[in-house]
Amino acid sequence: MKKRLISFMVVFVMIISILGGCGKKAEESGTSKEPTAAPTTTQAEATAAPTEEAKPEYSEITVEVFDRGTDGGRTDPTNNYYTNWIKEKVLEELNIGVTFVAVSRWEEVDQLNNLMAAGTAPDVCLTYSNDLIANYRDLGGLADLAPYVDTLLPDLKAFLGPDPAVEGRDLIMRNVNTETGQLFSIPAKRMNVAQFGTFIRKDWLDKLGLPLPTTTEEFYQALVAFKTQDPGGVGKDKVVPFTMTSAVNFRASVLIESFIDPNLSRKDRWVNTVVDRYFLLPGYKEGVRFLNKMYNEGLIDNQFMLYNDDVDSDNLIKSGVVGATIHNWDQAFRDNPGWLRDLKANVPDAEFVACDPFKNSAGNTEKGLYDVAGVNFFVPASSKNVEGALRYINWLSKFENHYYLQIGDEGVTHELIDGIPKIIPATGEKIMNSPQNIDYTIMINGIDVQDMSKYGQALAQSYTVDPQYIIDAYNYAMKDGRPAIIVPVTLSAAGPYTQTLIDKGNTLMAEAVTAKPEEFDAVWDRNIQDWLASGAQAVIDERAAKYVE
Amino acid sequence: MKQKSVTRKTILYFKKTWTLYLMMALPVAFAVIFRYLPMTNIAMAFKEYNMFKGVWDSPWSTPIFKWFITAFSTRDFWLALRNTLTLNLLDLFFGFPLPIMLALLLNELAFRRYKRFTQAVVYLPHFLSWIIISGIAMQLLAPRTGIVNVGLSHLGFQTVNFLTENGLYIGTYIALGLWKEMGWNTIIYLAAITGINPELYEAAEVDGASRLRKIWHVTLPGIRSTIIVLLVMNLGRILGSEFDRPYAMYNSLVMNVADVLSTYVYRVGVRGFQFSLTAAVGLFQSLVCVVFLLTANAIAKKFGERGIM
Repeated sequence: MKKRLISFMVVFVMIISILGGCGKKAEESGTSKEPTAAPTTTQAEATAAPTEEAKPEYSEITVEVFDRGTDGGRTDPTNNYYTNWIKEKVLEELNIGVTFVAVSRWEEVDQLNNLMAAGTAPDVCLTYSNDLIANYRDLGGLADLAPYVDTLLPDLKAFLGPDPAVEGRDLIMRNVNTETGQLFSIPAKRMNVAQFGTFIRKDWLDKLGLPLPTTTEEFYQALVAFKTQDPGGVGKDKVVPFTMTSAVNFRASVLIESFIDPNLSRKDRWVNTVVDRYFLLPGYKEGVRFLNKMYNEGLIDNQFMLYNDDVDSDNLIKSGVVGATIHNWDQAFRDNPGWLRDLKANVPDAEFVACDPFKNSAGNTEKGLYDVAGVNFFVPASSKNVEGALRYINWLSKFENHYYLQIGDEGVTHELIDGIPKIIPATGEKIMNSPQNIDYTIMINGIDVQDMSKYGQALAQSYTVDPQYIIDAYNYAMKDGRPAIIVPVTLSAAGPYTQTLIDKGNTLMAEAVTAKPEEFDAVWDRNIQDWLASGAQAVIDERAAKYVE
Repeated sequence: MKQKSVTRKTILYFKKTWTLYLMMALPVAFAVIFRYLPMTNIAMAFKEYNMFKGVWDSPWSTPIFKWFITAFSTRDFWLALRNTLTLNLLDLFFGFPLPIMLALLLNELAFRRYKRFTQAVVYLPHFLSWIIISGIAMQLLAPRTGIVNVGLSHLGFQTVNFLTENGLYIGTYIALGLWKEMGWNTIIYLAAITGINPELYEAAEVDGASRLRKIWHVTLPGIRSTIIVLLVMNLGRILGSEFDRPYAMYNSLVMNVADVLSTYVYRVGVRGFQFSLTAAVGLFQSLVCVVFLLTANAIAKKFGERGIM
């Protein structure tokens, strides 16, 4: 009898504890939803009183914000000085309650997918992946914003201005479907379209009595001299004349692309560009062949294909064994990863400067520029408050609002030089999690000083290194810059192919660069066939069919 | 009359044991809710899955086997399938007998302390994640900065591309897997060995059996059923694949031999938004595994072993 009683109690306790667990979860998910519903009704009654008519009814929205983890995440991205400032202002001016939802910058796509599939995505979402947006769009997951452009988004429309890549159209309408007139996402505006930079060890060149290279041949000779004469004294077996990673198409971009036929028509260039890779453009193969030659002469780090991110390559540069590399136009001078800073700590008289050596057959250093449209933001179809979300975006587009978020308080996060803000490192609660709070000011990439003539100085002042480095690097990056080609058509999502084509592209480049010179053609042709068969041909066919001048 | 007694017997039985059944109810509910209900999502493999509609509201694909046809008609899928089979067979060929030998060796160690220490050392790698091991591999085997290759070039030898040449990559992949799991896999054999009746050893000793004879005629037959069960279970996994091991180890130069089904599914299905394709490949994998498992089990039973079912 006693035994039975005990076993009964055991079972009872088990059931209670498990049900208890379930209950708690249900409660939690319940509370997260409740505030959206409850205050709306109470506030609605309050505003129904005829005291104030201009303000819309109280409502709530959620806004995605990137969580950049430990590197930049020095305060809670969803709850800090700046989010509180936004919340207060928006509540006061728009009568909207804002809640920020953190999404990891590094798992952006996966987390957004989960949120979208569960129907719990924030009312304002953003992503750098155009493919992702195309996928959501094709599956019917996005709200059409076209009806609101003129009613709710006048300030955003004015801020983004005309689209420089598509004549006669506003940038706000960049992603419009020309057939249906629907608009599912809006791009941010890049203040700065400089893309690539080539960096070289100036102190090594000086020791060898070589000038800053101005042609591909001079660049190549400099690398050979770095290898054979080891001007840095790091050891001839240790010196890495040129470093790159498995993303060869990016880390050798300007070098390879300078071999592309400069007379290529706009159409041919656009049609044959697949997932931002130029493999099929005439001349590109010769650029890779040049890289193959450099590799076989030991001028390129022979471990590049093992580097899946920048870390190993960064460390080589910082330790002072690297002669030259290619990356973002300002990569050497950014605080993160801090190439120049850490290099100088290791080798005090090191100089790592920008140069612009890669001339094409027309004799200029043509190179790609960024599209003026940056990150895209959108409202999910599951949103209960599309209008609130757009009102918030429009509010953020007003200069006085995003300007404060970008530069913060004088003396704390910036100081004024000739009336132009210079960003200074802040401490304490006003520290910014992302440069110029880019994660909150979603429609701007780069500082907005309203007057473009002041932009150059503002840009140079926004780094912690000597402004002259920045000015030189910027001028080189923009010299003979080729604007991004934008064809105003709606392409179907390359989703099913994208990842495969990116991976196969990396394999193609790794195999071609490391091939024996006499096998180069065979390796290249075999991999290109595979690349075409893996979806590239389908992408090209669609682009060819849809191209318009 | 007889019927009545049967019902009474049943009632009596339940009266005695109902608490046990009640205790069973929770685990069964767990299995049903978290293991069986999710299986209904297999339907995804036969649908045009739309994440905003959910599995049930998404339309059926036409033809119904569309995603299977899609998968089977791509070269990458067959490559991944071939690689999965090759790597798993090699793993089985080298990875299956070694833990048995190691267990036998450990069992023969006379000093208890030394035995314990050795055991701890060979278990240890099991607790490292593949990300860490691939990092170690990179530090040791990278062509220019890896310690092994630095040593080789100092001694005047040619460096070896352990990680970037197809054949060598496979070797490295298998060897690292062996190093990581060999010790851990001895546990079950060691447990089985302790279960062998010591009288058998005494009897063998009386008959004048040497150490090797005892291993051959007492220990090995003693753990035979364990070996068979593990072999059957391993065969059931022949088409299954880990994700982190190949994903952490491969690089763009060895994709042709390194891409397995799990990484293929991740890249093409999950990252490429083709969830239905993912489900189809997963279903195919499971079906083949079940067939292998049942066949191996049936064969084991034919040879007079108990098998696993």
